[in-house]
Amino acid sequence: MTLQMWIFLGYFAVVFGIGWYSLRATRGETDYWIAGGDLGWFAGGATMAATHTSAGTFVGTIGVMYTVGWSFGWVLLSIPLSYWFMVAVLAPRFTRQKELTVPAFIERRYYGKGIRGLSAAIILVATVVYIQAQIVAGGLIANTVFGVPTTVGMVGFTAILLVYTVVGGMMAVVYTDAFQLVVMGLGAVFAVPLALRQVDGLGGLLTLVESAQPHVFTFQAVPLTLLLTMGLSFFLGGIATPEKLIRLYAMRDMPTIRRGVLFAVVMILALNLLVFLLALAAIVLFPALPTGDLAMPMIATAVLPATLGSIMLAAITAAMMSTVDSLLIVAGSALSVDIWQNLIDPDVSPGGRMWIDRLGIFVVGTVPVLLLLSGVGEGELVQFIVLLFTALMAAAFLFPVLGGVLWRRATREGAASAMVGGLVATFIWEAYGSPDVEPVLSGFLVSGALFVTVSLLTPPPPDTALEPYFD
Amino acid sequence: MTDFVFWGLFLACGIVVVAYVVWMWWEERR
Repeated sequence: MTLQMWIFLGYFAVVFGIGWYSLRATRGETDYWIAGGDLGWFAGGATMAATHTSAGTFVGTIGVMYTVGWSFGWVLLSIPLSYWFMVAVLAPRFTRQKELTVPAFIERRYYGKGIRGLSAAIILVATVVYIQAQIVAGGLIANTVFGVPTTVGMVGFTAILLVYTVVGGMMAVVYTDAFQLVVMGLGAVFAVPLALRQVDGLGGLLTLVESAQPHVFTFQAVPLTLLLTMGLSFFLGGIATPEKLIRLYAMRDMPTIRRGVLFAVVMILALNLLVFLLALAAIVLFPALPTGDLAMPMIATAVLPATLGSIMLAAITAAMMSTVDSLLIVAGSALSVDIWQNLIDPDVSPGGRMWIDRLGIFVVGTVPVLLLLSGVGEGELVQFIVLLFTALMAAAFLFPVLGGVLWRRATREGAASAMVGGLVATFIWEAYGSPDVEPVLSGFLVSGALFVTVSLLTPPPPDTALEPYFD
Repeated sequence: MTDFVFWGLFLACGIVVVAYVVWMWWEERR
């Protein structure tokens, strides 16, 4: 056994320990799906930050910055603004009536079981694809650390994730996320000074980057329209995604949400800025990588000493697991609560419900790995699909959720057409539109236009649907 | 230009966080 393996085994042991503790603390569906709805700002904020930070931050983001330069970093500003908007405008009304799932909110506000099923189906498809891509990253890490084939690594990671998520539900996700956030922080905090030491400190780094790649510190490397539309789509896309909304239900009250989001934003900004600095170091240390995605693995193996390198790999794993477990909760609840218990078997007994809850997560978690093992969705295509599906989910939910709590006249038909229209428009732009503009923007435009027009053309919603959210 | 593009991002992040804290304080005093 190498030291690297011990570090990973210790890390998994802590995760399982938290899962076991959560099983004992979970007493009913409220605990299982929204961690009792009584989280404090620290646990709530930590799980938000950990969910937000995926393997994409540690591999994809650093890769983009390595390729296009620091101007990409400015897109980061859209993230705190998006969270701020969510807390100030959406959260106060959205949390007046707590639900267990986001589709349950859709049913109450839009008075229909059909539209609840539609939103659950969108969540299911989008998250399964997203989980797939993250599991591929997990397979690669397992290959590096334990020398096992990537397929074994993928199955292994899925098994670990499923054990604690199925057993402990949202409680396990929240508390493991807090631990994963610490691991990510440690990885970034240790890596940056060591990388900087190799390039004569921060001043030396800036001088070296400027002389080697003068375009890095300009706004000319990327078309300005692309930077602005990226920022705008991060902003709009961040306001109403289901895995974030469910965390608003999980936190105790509005003051807690405001503090939790402050904590999350500070952690997300700090982690990203540290990763950006690593990207600059990679530009100097490894100037000719074939793809930017190799920047982080190169730093972990060639710059850091073995122990810290494995902490960095553990940090990437932590980023991956803390995002996948949250998506498992969202997708599992869509399957077992919103589709099975709501549409297929409404008379299921309370005892049977908890059983179906766990089965839902198990099914949603095993499908991606089965698809991967049968050869569906491997390679480059996955990254492309992930971006597309995050865009689809954002385009589908922004207007129905935000408009639902701000605009009394929003109707069921308006919301349904906004969901479907947003999806279709994003797909069409992705296939035929200009690559200088983010495809999700067309999704938002079409979704918003349909939401307003169709709502005005259909009969107004009944008072019972509005009463929980409006005075 | 380097100073503005590089340090400006850190400054901007700081400003957003401070502005959020001020908003939070104001919101809870109301």
